[in-house]
Amino acid sequence: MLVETLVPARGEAELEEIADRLAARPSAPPFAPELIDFCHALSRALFTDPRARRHPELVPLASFLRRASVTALADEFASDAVAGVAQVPRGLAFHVPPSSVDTMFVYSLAVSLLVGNRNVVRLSQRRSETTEVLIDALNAVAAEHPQAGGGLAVVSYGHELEPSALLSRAADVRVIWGGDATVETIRALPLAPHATELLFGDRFSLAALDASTPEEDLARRLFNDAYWFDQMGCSSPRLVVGVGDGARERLERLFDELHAEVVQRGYELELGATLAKRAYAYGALADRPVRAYRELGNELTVLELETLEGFDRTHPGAGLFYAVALDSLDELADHVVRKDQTMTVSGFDGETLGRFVRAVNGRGIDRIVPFGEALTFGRYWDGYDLLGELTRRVHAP
Amino acid sequence: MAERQYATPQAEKAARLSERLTALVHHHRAACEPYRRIVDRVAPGFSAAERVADVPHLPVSLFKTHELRSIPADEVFKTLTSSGTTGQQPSRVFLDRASAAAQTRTLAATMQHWLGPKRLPMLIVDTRTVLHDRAQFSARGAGILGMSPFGRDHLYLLDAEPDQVRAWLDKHREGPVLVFGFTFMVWQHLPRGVDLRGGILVHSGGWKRLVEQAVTPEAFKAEIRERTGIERVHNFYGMAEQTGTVYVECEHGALHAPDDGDVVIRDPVTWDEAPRGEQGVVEVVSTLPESYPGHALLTEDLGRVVAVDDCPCGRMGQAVEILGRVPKAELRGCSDTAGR
Repeated sequence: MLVETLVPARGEAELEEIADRLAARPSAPPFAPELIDFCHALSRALFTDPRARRHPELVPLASFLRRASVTALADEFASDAVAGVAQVPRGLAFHVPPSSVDTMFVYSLAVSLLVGNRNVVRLSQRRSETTEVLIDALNAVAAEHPQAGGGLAVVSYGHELEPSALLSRAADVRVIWGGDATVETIRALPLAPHATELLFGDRFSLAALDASTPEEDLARRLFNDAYWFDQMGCSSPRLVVGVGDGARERLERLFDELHAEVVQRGYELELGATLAKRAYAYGALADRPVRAYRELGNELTVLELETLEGFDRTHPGAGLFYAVALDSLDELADHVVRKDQTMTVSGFDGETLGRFVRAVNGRGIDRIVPFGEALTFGRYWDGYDLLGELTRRVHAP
Repeated sequence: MAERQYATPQAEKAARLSERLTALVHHHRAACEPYRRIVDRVAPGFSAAERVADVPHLPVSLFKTHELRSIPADEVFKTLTSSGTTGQQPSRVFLDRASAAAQTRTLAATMQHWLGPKRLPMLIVDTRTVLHDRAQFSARGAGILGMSPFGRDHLYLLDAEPDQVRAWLDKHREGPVLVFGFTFMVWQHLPRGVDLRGGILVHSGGWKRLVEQAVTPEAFKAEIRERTGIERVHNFYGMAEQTGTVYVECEHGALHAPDDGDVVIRDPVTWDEAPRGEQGVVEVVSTLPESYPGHALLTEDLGRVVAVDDCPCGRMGQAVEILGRVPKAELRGCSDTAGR
């Protein structure tokens, strides 16, 4: 079947031929020099593209792909090695990234490529300028690095299932990002019996701060965490929990500072998003135990909850924060659910957080990172170790 | 309602509305728990509105997501539904007998002002099938049923054979007829070459689909005149959530607020009332809704005030121009991929 191709070149091609070509190629050894070179070249291409300046979310991606950062990942991978066990690529990886966290497909792709897999990525036909910048960079780098680039294809088609079914049958590992509905739809397509898959459904993220140990600069970091993807990223915090004495006042001050940050950064919402957010917020007032409602301009709305009891985690994005004051992290632990992904934290010591993780014991929360790092991609994501999941272990004493 | 319509100067009207709307806020706070929860958070300590703009309002889309009523479930006489344009959840508006009657009475008073006391033969540019489910009216069906009492000898244009249409036109050749339909239905289906001279066209339903075809209100009127000879064309604006309160277009193209309702044009950044002539988000208020808290609603439409007691047509009060809908915003994020 004919599909649009984006990488290694823009045009059209038979999907069967793409799958056959990728299947026939050998995998590279994990972290082979040509793979690291490829990532580094991609990093440079992104740093030098004049269009990239308009898209700040490309900066952390380009940093992630730098030689120093990729080499550090290689070192981690090497130090994980267990005597008598060799870690090898799975083979062909099929990625279905989310349509609107534009940079996600390259993170997904890069980690898989670095451990030696061949890769095919499906992108939607509705693509942002950021995505186009990324495609151009991938094409330029693939042309200069044919060895690594040859194991890579990015294709685009609509919501028809046949192309995904074909790629699913050809894949050794399938990586599905995006909403629950996408996961459900693509998951129903059969994989080869030996193939595995990584699933990233809808998630909810929160921030927690200890009111008694105030940190500097929290508002600026919370802004970056929450507003970069219009608060629609899976790791964008949407609930801010204040813990300990004076938590309510601390939260109130934090949102005042956040409002100042929003104004200073010149972040503005479209009117349609403002209206949708307000309608959502009024609905929440009708249904939920909201103690206080604050609108700090169109871009920041705060709903202070009396309790997390029954908190259902629906959310419109666009700068709406639930807030709640609790006596302790233990109290928060009682309310954690499977959907909870990232918790950005401030002011807690390692022991307190360790106790929290043990108390939750896998019911939810897959990442705990400092304020400001909610969107920083890493090998551990949604409870997976991506380096581990994208490789096979060969017992070879 | 016997008094003359559009005769009250704005200052006097606004004072009367503020008082009546204040009473409605307190009525609905007492009768509708979700409404009380909202108002007590967004307007804590509310006691009385000095200006119409001070009355707490609800986003109109809340009627799609929430069941808001100020009467017990067993007193619901009729539920109006409207799907809007986006095909999502329909709005649900709960009426008891008294509210339904008030809507009918008020609409009649307004329409008689524009159409005169005599019921005219009525040509409906639609099909009867949109009326099917009488318990759950569609916006189109509700519009037709709401307007039908203002005409007689109704003919549904899209159900009629050509010779039936000819016979009907022959029968009413002498006097004026009333033509009614949704704006895009009229544009698409009202045929060229039927002589309806002296008639009145009343239409509604928004310009969205005509704007896509670059049809302006002026071009619409010119086209209708060319097709049928009709000189009197009245667009009207209103929403299912405030049925009975309609804003009818005068000879000068301005939509006039009726005696029982008004608009507040809000600045989309400060949300204060925008100065006359400035574009803003349209809030509609109506004194009719007693059975559901729909007396002050922030719409998703843009508009501006074009007259205050000084429309060249001579009608008092405010008149507006509707400038279209606020575009739906697309946020980024980990949203679904398969559906796109």
